[in-house]
Amino acid sequence: MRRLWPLLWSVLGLALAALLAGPILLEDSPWPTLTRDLTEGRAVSETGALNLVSSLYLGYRAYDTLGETIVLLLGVLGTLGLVHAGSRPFPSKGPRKLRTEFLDVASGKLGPIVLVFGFYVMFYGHVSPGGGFQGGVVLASGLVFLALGSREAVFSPLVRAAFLKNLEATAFLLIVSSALAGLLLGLGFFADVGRVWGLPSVSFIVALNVLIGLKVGSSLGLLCLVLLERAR
Amino acid sequence: MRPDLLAFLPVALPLAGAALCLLAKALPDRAVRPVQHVTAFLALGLTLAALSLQLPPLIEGQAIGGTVGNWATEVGITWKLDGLSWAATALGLVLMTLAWLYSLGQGPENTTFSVVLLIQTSGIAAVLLTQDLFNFFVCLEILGLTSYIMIAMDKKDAAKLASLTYLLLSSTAMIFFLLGIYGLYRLTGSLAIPTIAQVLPRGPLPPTAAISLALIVASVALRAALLPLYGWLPEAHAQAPHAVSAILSGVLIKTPLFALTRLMTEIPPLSQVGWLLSWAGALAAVVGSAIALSQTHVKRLLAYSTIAQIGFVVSAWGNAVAVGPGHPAYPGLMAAALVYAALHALYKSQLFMGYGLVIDRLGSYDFDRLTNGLSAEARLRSVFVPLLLGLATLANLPGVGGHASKVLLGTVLHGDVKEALITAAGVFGTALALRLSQPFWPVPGDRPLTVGPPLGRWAALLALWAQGLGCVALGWAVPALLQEVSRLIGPGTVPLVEPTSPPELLKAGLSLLGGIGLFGLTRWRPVQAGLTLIRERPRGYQGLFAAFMVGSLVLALGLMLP
Amino acid sequence: MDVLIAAERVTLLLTFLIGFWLIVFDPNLVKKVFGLSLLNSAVVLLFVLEGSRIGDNTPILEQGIQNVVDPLPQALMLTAIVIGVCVTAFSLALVKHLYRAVGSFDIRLIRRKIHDET
Repeated sequence: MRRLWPLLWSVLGLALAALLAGPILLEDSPWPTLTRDLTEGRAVSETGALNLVSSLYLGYRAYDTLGETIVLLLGVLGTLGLVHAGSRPFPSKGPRKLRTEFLDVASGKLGPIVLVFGFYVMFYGHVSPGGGFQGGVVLASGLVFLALGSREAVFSPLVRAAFLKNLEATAFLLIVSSALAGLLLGLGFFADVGRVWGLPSVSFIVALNVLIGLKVGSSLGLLCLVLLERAR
Repeated sequence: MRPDLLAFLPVALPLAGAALCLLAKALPDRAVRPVQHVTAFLALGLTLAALSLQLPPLIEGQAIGGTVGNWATEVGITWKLDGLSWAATALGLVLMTLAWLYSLGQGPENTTFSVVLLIQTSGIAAVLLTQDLFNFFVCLEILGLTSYIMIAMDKKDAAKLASLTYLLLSSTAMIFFLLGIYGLYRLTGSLAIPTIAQVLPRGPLPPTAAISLALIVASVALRAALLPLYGWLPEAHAQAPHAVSAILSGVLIKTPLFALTRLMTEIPPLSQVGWLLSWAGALAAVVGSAIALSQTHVKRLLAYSTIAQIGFVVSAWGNAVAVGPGHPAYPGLMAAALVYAALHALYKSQLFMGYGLVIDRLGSYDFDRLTNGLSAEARLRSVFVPLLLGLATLANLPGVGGHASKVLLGTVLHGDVKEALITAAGVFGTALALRLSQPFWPVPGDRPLTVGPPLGRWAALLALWAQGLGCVALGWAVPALLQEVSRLIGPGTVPLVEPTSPPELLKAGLSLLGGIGLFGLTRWRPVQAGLTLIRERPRGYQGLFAAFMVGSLVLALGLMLP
Repeated sequence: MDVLIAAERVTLLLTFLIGFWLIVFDPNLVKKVFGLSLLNSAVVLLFVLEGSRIGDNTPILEQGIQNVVDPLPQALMLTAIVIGVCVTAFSLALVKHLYRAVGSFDIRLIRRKIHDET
C-alpha cells in the first residue's frame, strides 16, 4: 500500500494538469484570420519585408524582439557567472580517446561553410525563410564545429571567449541604440529610422536581422563553448 | 518632449546603462568597477529625473497610450502609462537605487551584478507599461531570469538550490501562461488586453476562456507570492545575497501584482475574482506572520514576514480590483495598497540589508547564536540606530509609519470582515520586531566574536539611513499621501485617515501590549514546542506545483460560475 | 473534429503531460530540465500547428502567393523558443554546480544534504 502512494500522487497531479491544459489544447473554435489578413495586405508596403514573420518580429512587434535579446544576454551572463564561479576540481576525463582525424577534418573544415550559410540565412531573412535568430543559431553551430575541430594548440580566433563576449556586448549596444534612435528622432520607440535618410524600410529590417544574428550567434556559441568547457 | 518618448525613457535608460556596463567589462581590470559605478549612477539618476518629468500630466488624471513604434494597433504592441503604473514604477526605481547603493558597500562582488540590476530596473518599467499579453509574458520572463541569476550569486549551495527550485516552478507557470495566451488569442484574435476585453462575454465564461485567464492570473500570482503560491519564497529570499533579498522583497513581489491590475480591471469577469484574492491576502497575513514567529533563521523570519505583508497589500488591492475603476472607492483602495506597499518596501529592504550586515559580521544566521550585538563593535552600533527605525515600523509603533499604515488599511477596509484579520495579524508585527531585536540584547557573560572583513563602507549605511528616515517621513505623510496618490489614480471618494486620533492611538497601545504578550508567550517552553512543529512541517517540492494547479482550478471555477 | 486534427492535439497534450510529469515527479534534476524543454516544445508546436490551419502557403509573399498561414504564432514562438533555450542553459549550469557540490543528481538527496548543512 505504501508503494502505491507515489503512484497515486502522480496520477492526481497529471489529472490536474490534464484538466487545465486539456480544454485549451483541444479547443476547436476557428482560428482568427485578422492578423493574417492585415499583414498580407499591408506588411510589404509598411515594412518592406516579403517574409511576413520578419515584418512582425522586426517591424510591428520589434519591442518583443528587444526583450528576447535581453533574455539571451541574461542567459549568457548567468551561465558564465555560474560556470566560472564554482571552480571545484572536476574528476579529470582522461586522455581524449575519441579524437580522430575525421573529427578534425570534418568539423574543422565544415565550420567555415556553416558560418557562410549562417550569414546567408541572416541576410536573406526578409525574403526567404530565415532571419536573425535562425541565422544566429546556425552561426553558433558553426562556431561549435570550429571549436570541436581544433586541436589543443591551434584555435581559430573566432572561438576565443573574449572575442565572442565583446561581439555580443557590441551587438547588444547597437540593438539598444537602434531602439533608442527611433525615440530620439521623434518617430517612436523602435520605429524605422532608415526613413530619415531616405533609405527604404527594408534596410532597417536587414540591419536588425544582421545585428540580431550576430548577437544570437555569439551568445549561443559562447554558451555552448563554455558548457562544453572548450572556451579559451 | 513627446509624451511617448518620455514614457519609454525609464525602459530605455537603464537598458543603455546595462549595455555600457557590459562593454565596460572589456576595459582593463582597474577601470571596470569605477566605470560601472558611474554608468549605473547616471542611468538610475537620469531615470529618476525622467520619472519626475512624467508626473505633471498624470496628476490631472490623464493617461497616455499608444502602440510601440506607432504601428497598427491590431498587430502592434499597445502600451499605456497612467497614474497607477507611474506610482508603481517610482516605487520600484527608488528601491533599486537604494539596493544598488547598498551593493556598493556590501553587495555581490562581481561585475555582472550592476548589469543584471539595470536590466531588471528596465524590466520593471516595461512590465508596468504594457497592455499586450505576449509582451507581458516577455517582461515577466526578463524579471524572472534576472531574479534567478541574482539569487544564485550567493556562494552557498543552498542559494543555487533555491534559485533552481524557483526557476523550475516559475518557468512551468510561465508555460501555462503561454497556454493561456494561446486560448485567448484563439478565442479573440488579438493579444491586446482592451481588445480581448471587448470580445469576451461579460458574465460567466466558457471553459477555455476561464481556464486561460485563470492560468495567466495564477502565474502572475505565483510571482507575487499570494497564498497558497508562496512556497518558493522563504528559501529564495533567505539564501540570496542581502541586497538581492532586499530587491526581491521590496520590489519584485509587488511589481507583477500592480502590472496584473490592468488585466484584472479591464476584463469584467476577472474583477469578481478580486474578492477571492483579497481573502487569500487576509489569510496570508495571519498565516505568514504565525510561521514567521516560529523561525530561528533571521532571513527566513523576514521572508515569511514578507509573505504576510504582501497579504496586507493584496487584501486592499483585491477589494480595489473587485469594485472596479468606476466605483468611487476604487482610488482610495488602490492608493492604500500602493502606500502600504511602499512603506513595506522601505522597511523590509532596510531590515534585510541591515541584518545582512549583522549576519556577515557576527558570522551566524541563527537567533540562538546571535547575541550581544551592541557590545561587539562600534560599527555594529552605528548599524543598529537606523535599523531601530525599521524595527519600530514593523512593530507598528506610532510615529514611524508602522501604525499609520495599519490605520490606513483599517480605514479603507472599514466594515469588511477582513479588517479583523488584518488587526489580528498586526499584533504579530510587534512580536516579530521584538524577536528581531534579540541579537542586540545584552546577555551577561557572552562576548561576541566578529568574523570577516570590517564594515567600513559608507554606502551601505547611507542606504540604511535613507530607508529609515523614509519610513518616518512616509508615516507622517500617510493621510496626505493617500489623498494625492488617489488623485493620481482617478476621481473618487477617499476616506480620511487619522493615525493620531485618540481611538486609533488607543488601538495602537492595545496592539502593542498584545504583541509584547505574544512575544512573551513564545519564550514559554510548551509554546516553543508548538513553534518547532510549525517550523519543521514537511514541505515538498511537489507541493509547490500542487498549489499552483489547485489555485488555477479554483480561479477557473470562479470565472465559470455566475 | 477531424480525426487527424484530434490525433495531433492529443499527441501534443500527451507530450505536455509527460514534460509536466518529468518536472514534478522525476527526482533526477537533469530529467526535470528535460521535462521543461518538452513542455516548451509542446506549446511551441501547438501554436505553430494550429496557426497553420488557416492557409496553404508559407507566409512569404513572393509573386502571386496568396492564402498564407498565420504569421503571428510563428513570430511569437521565435521569442518563446529563445527564452526557453536561455532558461534551460542557466538551469543546466545550476544543476552542474549542485552536482559538483553534492555528487548526485537526485533532488531528494540534495535537499536533505543542504538542509542538514544549514
